[in-house]
Amino acid sequence: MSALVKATILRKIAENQLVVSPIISAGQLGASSIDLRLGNVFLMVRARGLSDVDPGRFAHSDSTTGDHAIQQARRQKHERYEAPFGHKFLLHPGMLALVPTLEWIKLPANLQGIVTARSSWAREGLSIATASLIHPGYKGVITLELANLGQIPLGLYPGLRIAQIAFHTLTEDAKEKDMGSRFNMAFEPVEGNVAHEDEPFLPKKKA
Amino acid sequence: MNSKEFLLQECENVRATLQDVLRHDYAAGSSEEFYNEFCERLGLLESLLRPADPSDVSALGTFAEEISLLSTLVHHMERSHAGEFPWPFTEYLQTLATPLCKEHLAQNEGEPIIRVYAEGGLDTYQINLENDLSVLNVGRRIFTIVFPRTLRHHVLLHAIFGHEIGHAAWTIPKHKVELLDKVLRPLRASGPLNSTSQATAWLRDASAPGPIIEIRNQYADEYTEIKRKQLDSWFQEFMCDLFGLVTFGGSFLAAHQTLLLALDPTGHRWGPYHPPYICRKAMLWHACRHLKWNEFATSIKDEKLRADIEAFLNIYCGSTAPGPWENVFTEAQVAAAVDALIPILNAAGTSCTSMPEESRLLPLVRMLKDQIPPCGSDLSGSDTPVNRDVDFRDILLAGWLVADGSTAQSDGREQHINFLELNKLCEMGLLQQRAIDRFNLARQGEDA
Repeated sequence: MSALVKATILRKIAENQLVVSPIISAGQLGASSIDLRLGNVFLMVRARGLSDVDPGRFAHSDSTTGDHAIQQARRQKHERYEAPFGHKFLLHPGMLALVPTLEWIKLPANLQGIVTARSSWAREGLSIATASLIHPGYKGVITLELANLGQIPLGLYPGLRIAQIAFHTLTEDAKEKDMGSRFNMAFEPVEGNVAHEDEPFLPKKKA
Repeated sequence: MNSKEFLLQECENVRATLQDVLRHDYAAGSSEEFYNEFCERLGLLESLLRPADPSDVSALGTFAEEISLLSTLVHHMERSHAGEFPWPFTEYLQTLATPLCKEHLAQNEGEPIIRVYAEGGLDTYQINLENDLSVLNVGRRIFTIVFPRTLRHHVLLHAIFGHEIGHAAWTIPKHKVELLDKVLRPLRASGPLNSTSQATAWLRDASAPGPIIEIRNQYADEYTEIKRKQLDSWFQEFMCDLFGLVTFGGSFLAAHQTLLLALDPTGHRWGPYHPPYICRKAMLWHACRHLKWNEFATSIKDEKLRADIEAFLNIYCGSTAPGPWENVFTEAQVAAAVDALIPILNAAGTSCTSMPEESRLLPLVRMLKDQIPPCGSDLSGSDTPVNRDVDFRDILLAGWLVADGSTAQSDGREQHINFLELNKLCEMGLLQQRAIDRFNLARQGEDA
């Protein structure tokens, strides 16, 4: 397992083995990484009555069906905000926002991606990703979990370079059956399901 | 409370609603222009209403209509949330429609103020320009674009807005005069729709297609008697279809057929405003031939792309000539109308489009087949990205070619992409192209 350098990344992109699209400026290309730009959708937690994280409530139900209370709690947990280019989004201290990258990523079976903050933004208190591993075979936008760890609000504009992705080769190709992901072909952030496959440890659903 | 007092109260209510509007975020332009225009209109309305005689029922009736209009518009504004419609598409649509709708109004020249919202129903696609009969229309017109809420991501179908641009242009007096004279005159010059009596005879013709006869038999004779106003509306629809064709190109053909046949699967129904779909398709068939779109595939070297284009043309352009009954215009009539329309649009600053060159289309189609949002980004091994200008209408056409073409990816593997995902890929491609456009524009500014 080793990290790819710029020349290898470029070769894989040219040979269509790896997709990071669009790469708009040469400045996005680092020695062993590609800068990622902020997309246009923001999912923010709504601090109100129906906004708690309770895996027990989400257990035994998929994301599109289920009773009214479960679906309502899911939908009301986040506020969805869409910002065109040139519009400012303020990330306040302590706030968490799920945002997509502008770039569409497609990884082959023998590469995994590691997403990290750009250091200039990290120095301002911006945390980019807590789930930073992108699995082999993934395609879609990458969801960044933005958090402001500083003391003052951060003004963010869609299109800014805020993260970077590096690529690591795997010892062998990942198997097709292992490459499925609930978040594959993601066009924008969606809420996760913290109960997924952990139902045995959660209260049973009432009959 | 008398009528005048109530109307003054309603002015206050509209003002309070206007303040509430500022609670939300809006795409497709900020709320500032709309807010300022409304404050001006409300102020003027109140200044005219306060001295009005409470017994002047005629004046009060006019004021009631004006306030009601403001109430409707402020509600549309409040619903103009980004997130219920694809704003990158809307921004491209604005660049097409706004120059055409720029005009000299009573006090100042200006572009209309754009508002966008979503409404329920498949047939809600609209571009409405506020009419100029309002006594308060002293500033800029409000220009409302309405998307079907459930088709939020279906940018491929949104090519139907090309038709709606025609309706918007029709409300502008200077365009209406020119369109009547140059575009509609050749269409109305001859043929079965030449007059109401001929149109009625045509609709009652024994040689009409079977579905027409079936529909005729379901209704009384009155239904088949074509009135003057009805015929005028039909011609406006024909003209708007030509608008759609030349402003959106091939993607309009596909959106037109898909949506209209969804609303009327028989393709033969008619109404007070719309002629039978088959007649509209027949007219577009002639227009495509006049524009030589039916020969487009022959110029394509890439075999897969050529096959996709042939399949597309076969479905949406039609490989066989329309039947004699629905063929209400000759090719010469349609050609004259198309040739008159294009310079009118170009003079207004609305760019027309045609079938793109292979070099423009092929990369977009390949990206889509590989499940990559299509845009003008290219990094072919060099460390300097090439950002191509891509016409958003080429992205839409590429989408339709993939929707109806082969499912082979560039590596030869078969991969079916469902229609919703395809639309989302194109929507994402439009968004990414907006970013590229913005970057290119800034770069050009630096170079200058």
